[in-house]
Amino acid sequence: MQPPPTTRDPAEPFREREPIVVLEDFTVRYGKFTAVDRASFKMPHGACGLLGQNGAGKSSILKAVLGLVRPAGGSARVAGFDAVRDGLALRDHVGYMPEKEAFLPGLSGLDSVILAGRLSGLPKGVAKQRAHEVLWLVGLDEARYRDVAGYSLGMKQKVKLAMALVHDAQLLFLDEPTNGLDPEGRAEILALLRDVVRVKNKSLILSSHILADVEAICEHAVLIDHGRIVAQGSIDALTRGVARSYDVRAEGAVDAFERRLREAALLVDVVAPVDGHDVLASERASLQVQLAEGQGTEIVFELARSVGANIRRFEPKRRTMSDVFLETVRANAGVRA
Amino acid sequence: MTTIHDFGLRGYDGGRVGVVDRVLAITTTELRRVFSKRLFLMFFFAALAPAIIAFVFVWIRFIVIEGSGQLVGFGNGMNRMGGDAGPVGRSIFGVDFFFDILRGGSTALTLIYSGVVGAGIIARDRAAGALEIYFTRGIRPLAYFLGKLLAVWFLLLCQVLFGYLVVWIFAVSVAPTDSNYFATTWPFIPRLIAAQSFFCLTLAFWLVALSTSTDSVRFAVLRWIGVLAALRIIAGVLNRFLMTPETNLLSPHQVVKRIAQAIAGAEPSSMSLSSALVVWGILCVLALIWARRHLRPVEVVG
Repeated sequence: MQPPPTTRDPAEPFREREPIVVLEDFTVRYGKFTAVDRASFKMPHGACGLLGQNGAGKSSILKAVLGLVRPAGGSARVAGFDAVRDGLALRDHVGYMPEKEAFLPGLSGLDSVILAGRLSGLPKGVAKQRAHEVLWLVGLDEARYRDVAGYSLGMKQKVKLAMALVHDAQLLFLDEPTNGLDPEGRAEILALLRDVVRVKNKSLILSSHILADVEAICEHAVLIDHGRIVAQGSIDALTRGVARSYDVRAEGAVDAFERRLREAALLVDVVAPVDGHDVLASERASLQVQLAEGQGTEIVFELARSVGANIRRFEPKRRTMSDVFLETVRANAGVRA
Repeated sequence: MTTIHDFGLRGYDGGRVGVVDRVLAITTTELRRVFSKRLFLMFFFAALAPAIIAFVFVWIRFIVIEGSGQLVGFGNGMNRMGGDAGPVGRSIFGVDFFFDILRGGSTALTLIYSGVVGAGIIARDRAAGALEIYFTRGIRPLAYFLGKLLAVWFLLLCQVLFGYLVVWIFAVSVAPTDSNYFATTWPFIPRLIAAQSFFCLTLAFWLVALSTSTDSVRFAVLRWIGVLAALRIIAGVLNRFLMTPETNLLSPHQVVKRIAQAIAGAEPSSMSLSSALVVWGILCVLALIWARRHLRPVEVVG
């Protein structure tokens, strides 16, 4: 029997049901230094965050999945291509948005995107047409005819995104796409990325230190520390509620309710509302309640009733990606020690 | 806020072009970028000075003097200019006139011009972070290097060959039929094209290779012009003391010029051709190693 092909024919469309990135025991070494140590993960179609501290191995993984690094061991399949054997063909079907300032000097936004398309194998006419379309898509209108060197940081990020998209990439690698942007620019790029994933059905790998960005865009995350993958899974699973910990908001006799919770040793913390940022519960503090093993949630409602407070919100407390990241890195540091 | 509409970001399932088209995309984009700069255009036309001088001499020789004879009686000097001899005693019927009209002066101009147009070609990309864009596309560093090399080669050819070819075509078209100008000159034109192409390609190769190691355009330009000028001066000084033409082997552009002279069949300098070939080979290998060492995607990306 003939063995199955290890890489994809570039002419064949990629089947979206397959995981878009599959790393198996992938190891990258630079001399004696091991940058990635037997990394294995399967990334389904969609958006995935790649998280790790500086020097954790994120860049090495990005280079590996772009087919730029020859691994010391293991295999990497990206968008159906063998990243080790078919790096060139692979890079025609993925897009990369670098973290650092990167533009083609002396070229307008339009010419930059056209050249990016042609370097990815688009015929000249097609590259030109798609460059106009994708620049319109990212919101660069008349500015597309100006030299990129004169663009604002936000506009440069948009051109980089347009260059990553122009050749119909199935998978985007985004390295700190909101780095240095003002809040408005950041929101704009995040909205674009969300649309690219959800409306245009592209996959992306987002490497970012801004964990809120990862939570805003991605459904999955991979945490890497000292070259090892220390956690992976859906964001939903990773941030799932801390056992028996609840976020409670009440109205009425809130002070008395808070006192009763404290007396019952249920209150862990009180998070004061930020002015103007919590319109629905602007006058309510968030009471962080932790129940003991075997304790029912009714006790909280009884305490509220006993002092005349009304509970308006009662929900399991979720961890943020920041919590997950810090907990995982600390735990891994303990293991290594 | 930008929103996505059905227009834009369409799928593409057409074919992808090969490596040659991608290399040419880099070359043509580079040329368009260079020729769109007013400063470059001014410099470009200034660098065409030898060809313009050649044009003037052909014009005086074949139109003013042979034609209406307006300059007859203007003195011996003007008549000499209009004679067979060119500006520095070179016959406009010989290959040397088209190879280096100003006897080394053209080469000096070429070196400065090459430094300005080519020495910073990759340094500029490195400074702007463009290498990260190139190397994460479906091209190898070699294709990127070739794209830049072709652009610099073409720019150098514009300066050292195309201007002279225009002059030659002009001379052929205006020369009196009894001068046999075409019959005398056309046999060396293919060799001249080959020689100047070789000269420009070698210079372009060294320029682009050297340009890979820095992100400062100014440094790259000064390094190229400074190092070549210094080596030329050192070679000249040593030549005076040692009285041997082989000291010119220290000067890379003298080396490549010697080989080009041999290809063109021009009057050779006294340096040995075989020694020049050996030095040329060594310099090309060193340039290749230098470029490979500095154009590594793994160090550029991420």
